[in-house]
Amino acid sequence: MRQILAAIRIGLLDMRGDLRRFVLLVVCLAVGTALIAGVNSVGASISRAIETGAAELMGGDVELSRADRVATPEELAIMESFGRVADTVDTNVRAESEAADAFVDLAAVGPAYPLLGQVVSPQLTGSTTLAELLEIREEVPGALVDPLLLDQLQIAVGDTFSLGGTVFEARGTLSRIPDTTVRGFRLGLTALVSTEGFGVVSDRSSPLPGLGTWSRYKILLSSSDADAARLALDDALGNGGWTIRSARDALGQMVRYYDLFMRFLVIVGLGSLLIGGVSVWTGMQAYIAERASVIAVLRAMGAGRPRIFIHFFAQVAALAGVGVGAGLLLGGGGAFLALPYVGRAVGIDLVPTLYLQPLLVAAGAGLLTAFAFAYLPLQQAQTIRPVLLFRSKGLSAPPADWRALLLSPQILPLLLAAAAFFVLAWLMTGDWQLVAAFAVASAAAAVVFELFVRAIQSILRRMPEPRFSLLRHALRAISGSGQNAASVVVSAGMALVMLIVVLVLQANMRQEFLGASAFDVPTLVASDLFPDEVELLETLAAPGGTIERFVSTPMLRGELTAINGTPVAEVRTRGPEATFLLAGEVPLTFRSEMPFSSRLTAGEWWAPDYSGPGLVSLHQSLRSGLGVDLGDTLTFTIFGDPVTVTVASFRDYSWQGGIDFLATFSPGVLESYPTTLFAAVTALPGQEEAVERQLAQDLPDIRFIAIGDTLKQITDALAQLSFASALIGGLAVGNGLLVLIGSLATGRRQREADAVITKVLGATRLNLLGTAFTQFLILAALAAIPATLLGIGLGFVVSMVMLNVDFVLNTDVLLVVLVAALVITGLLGSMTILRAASARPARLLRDL
Amino acid sequence: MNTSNSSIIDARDVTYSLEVAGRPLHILRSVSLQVAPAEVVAIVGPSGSGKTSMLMLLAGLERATTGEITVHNHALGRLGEDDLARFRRKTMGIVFQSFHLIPSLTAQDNVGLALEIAQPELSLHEVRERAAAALDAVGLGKRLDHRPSALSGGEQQRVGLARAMVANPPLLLADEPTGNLDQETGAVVVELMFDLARRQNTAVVLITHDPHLAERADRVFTMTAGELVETTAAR
Repeated sequence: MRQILAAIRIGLLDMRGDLRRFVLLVVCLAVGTALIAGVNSVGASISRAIETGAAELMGGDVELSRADRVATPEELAIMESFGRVADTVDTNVRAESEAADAFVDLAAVGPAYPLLGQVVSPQLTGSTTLAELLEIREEVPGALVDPLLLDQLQIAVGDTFSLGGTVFEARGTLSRIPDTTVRGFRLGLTALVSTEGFGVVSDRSSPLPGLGTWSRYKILLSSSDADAARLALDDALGNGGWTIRSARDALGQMVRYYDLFMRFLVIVGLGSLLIGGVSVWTGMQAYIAERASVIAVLRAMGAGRPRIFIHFFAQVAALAGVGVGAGLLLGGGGAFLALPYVGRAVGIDLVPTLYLQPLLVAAGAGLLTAFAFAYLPLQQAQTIRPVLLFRSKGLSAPPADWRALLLSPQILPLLLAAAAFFVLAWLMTGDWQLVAAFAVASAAAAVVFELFVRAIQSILRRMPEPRFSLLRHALRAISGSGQNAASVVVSAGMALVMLIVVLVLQANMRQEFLGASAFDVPTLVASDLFPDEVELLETLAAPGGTIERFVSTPMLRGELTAINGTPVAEVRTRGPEATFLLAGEVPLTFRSEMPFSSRLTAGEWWAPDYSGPGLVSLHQSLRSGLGVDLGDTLTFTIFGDPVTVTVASFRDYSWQGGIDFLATFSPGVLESYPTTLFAAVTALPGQEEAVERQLAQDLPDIRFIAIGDTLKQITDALAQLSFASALIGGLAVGNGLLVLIGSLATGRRQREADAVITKVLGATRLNLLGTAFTQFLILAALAAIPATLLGIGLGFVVSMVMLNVDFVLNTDVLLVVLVAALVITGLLGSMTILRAASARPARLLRDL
Repeated sequence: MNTSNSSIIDARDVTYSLEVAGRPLHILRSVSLQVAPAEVVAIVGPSGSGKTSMLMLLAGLERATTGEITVHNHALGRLGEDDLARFRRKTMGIVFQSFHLIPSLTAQDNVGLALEIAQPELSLHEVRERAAAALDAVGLGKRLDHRPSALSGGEQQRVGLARAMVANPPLLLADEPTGNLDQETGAVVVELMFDLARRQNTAVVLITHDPHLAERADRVFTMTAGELVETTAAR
């Protein structure tokens, strides 16, 4: 024990002196650990919030919903047999006051609402209940409204206004309703009324084509098994078109975005672990090479291999302790501070909390990374022979003998570390197949780089030497530097792969988060316009005005009556879109061009000049919702006529596409019927209010709905997610750059020695730096060839398979990043000999 | 194992060859050398004659191609790498031409390190005390906390000497110990080395180019093209 302590003491003392050499290693470990700690903490926080609060977020254990009607008394009785039931209705209506109007997200709630959580309002104090605030007094129902709605309508609490043409009294402001999250992103400012009050609203039709009226029934179960209850309810209600969700299912769209974000974080975390490990590897290799003489001295004094191992292991452990500790502080602290903002972005309240398990996983992963990647250099350190002390100072460890290592018991710690690492990564991702695939891909990438650089070195040695001396010297340095060139190419290549994968994923995530809102969100929309009104709008939208864009789409209403000849009454629907489509007369449209906010998920869009049999393109949710597929026929009743069309494609568009249509027909089917028009107006930036005033003045009969602001809130929320992804991706890329710098430290002493001697022989500083720049530029270019292919390939696979998002390759950005990475590598590489090139040779010659 | 109780070094018919570019390069040719305890032996000879290779073989840092080397009753050819490390820590100190001190450690820690390795049973306090005494013995008692970069060449070599002798080894191997020092400083270091060796009854094998230094040894050998010949009588 005393020997071990003595070896540790000397090992730690041996770290004194120029601590700058450790900075890179510690920073790489710290950033890698911080990313893992942060990613896991955020993940744990979101999961915990969902697990513990899902029922509260939904306002019940199970929710039944449909868009076509309310529950029958029989159905309600079945629901009540399972537990307490609270009914709600979600819809959009227009609100008006004497001064202004507004687009409202209306929530009507029954007397049992809320079953869980609380409605928050300044007026709900003391003994005042929600039912009292919303009750009908002297034939005027009450409403709690978003404070901004009061501002928009220019009214105050106590004033009356109309909702869907019926007078309501604003009895208070609404701070929060408990099931906000599962209601998703809603268009308009929220108003809360009672179902009794909603019952007297005269105009309950949705003002937008894609939005419906949703009847929801939340059940607080008497039993504890929500899944069993869901199945039993499904059976009891028969094929009645109900969508039945458990609390977790109800997070719906949110889960997809949250899941997408989390998967991205996991990939970045794993990648950071890998490149952090590569940095430890290259850093330790460079360090061991620099310390070769110390090792030889220790060996000459009779120090055995265990002593050498403990000496440097103590150093690795100390560095890992500092790096991992700093990483935990950064990651844990960062997550602690960021949780409220991340929560806002994903729509869940995340309370700043330090989670122990994610921090332990991060600490374990960081320490294991340090050990696993330092193990090989530590093994190499033991093979340094003291005999070299008698010959020269240009010492280095012999290359690792993998074959001997694999067959010796010394491989056991490495295998154990790898197994522990696998378990930690599994804990982190919850997906062993992902971890295994990642490990295989990483190992394969490392082998590809190693083989590639060996092949290049072999080719260079056989090639005739170029006449240009700078290039000649650079190529000689590459072909003659053996393992050093391989280290630079492997680590720079791995860092580049990481960089490219993160760039590709970030672009794809951005596309996914912001894709639907990347198009110009219209400022105002209006439905049921007549052609003369559209003509007037077109003149207002003439160039030079305040309107940037004006788009109109024909619309008419029709009812789906049969699918493949089977009446829809016999069709069991699944999902809100399907129930909405069967809810009666729904808005329909026809288009020759596919809307640019849509993307095809199956089938093909018709040609612009298509004139064949009637086709229809459906929202992709209807594929499973109605149980239809490409080639199936749908029969609509339009103005009393049966119109049968064939399903030609399925499209996806963002949920904010309340301004898009679930069913879009091909040209030549609906044109003969009288249509109205749906219009979307986009104001020039900053001109939104002016455009609104102008339209109100010039087209007083048309009710425009200002949705720009609402959609902007959604876009902002997704922009926050996108920003969070970019920030984390940026950190990972920064870590990759550090690894790159670390890799350049490999063989630095030899390069310095070569530079000093070359300088003594008469080379100028420019010659030396130019040669080094060329050498590293070529090495980086060599690394970039397989790295680009691997990075794009991995980015494609991860995007399509793991994230299930569209693959987009922004070649311009990729090219800029690659060129920048090459130039930075060249510059950093030449910087490694700057000291030798700049100082007087005599001073350095003494150290050789 | 015990082949010669009267010699601390007993090397018989030792050859040492390397393969260079597929051809054998004979560095030592049937060399024999016996060194008695506390005896000082100098080996001189031109560069490339095999002097340093001989020293490396005696230190167990290389293995002889043929022949047998026994040092302090250990047949080196039969020892494994870790056995050789244990053998070195108990048996010998080595002084290098280029000092080879550990730059991050103070003079006291550099010296103490050798003691810790050789005698792990010592407490840290004892290690530090004895290291301080060893440095005091080479005139560096007031430079204990100085790192190598703060010491002159002569001082560094004195630290190297203290390090080599601190564990009282029966054998000291010195490879051109004054090669990097001026004549005056070199003389001081050599004086100290011989003085310590005499006081501790340590045998010394000294490789040197300096004929004046060689003259102070009990016996002198000359290495020429891998052949070792005693030339003491020729002094």
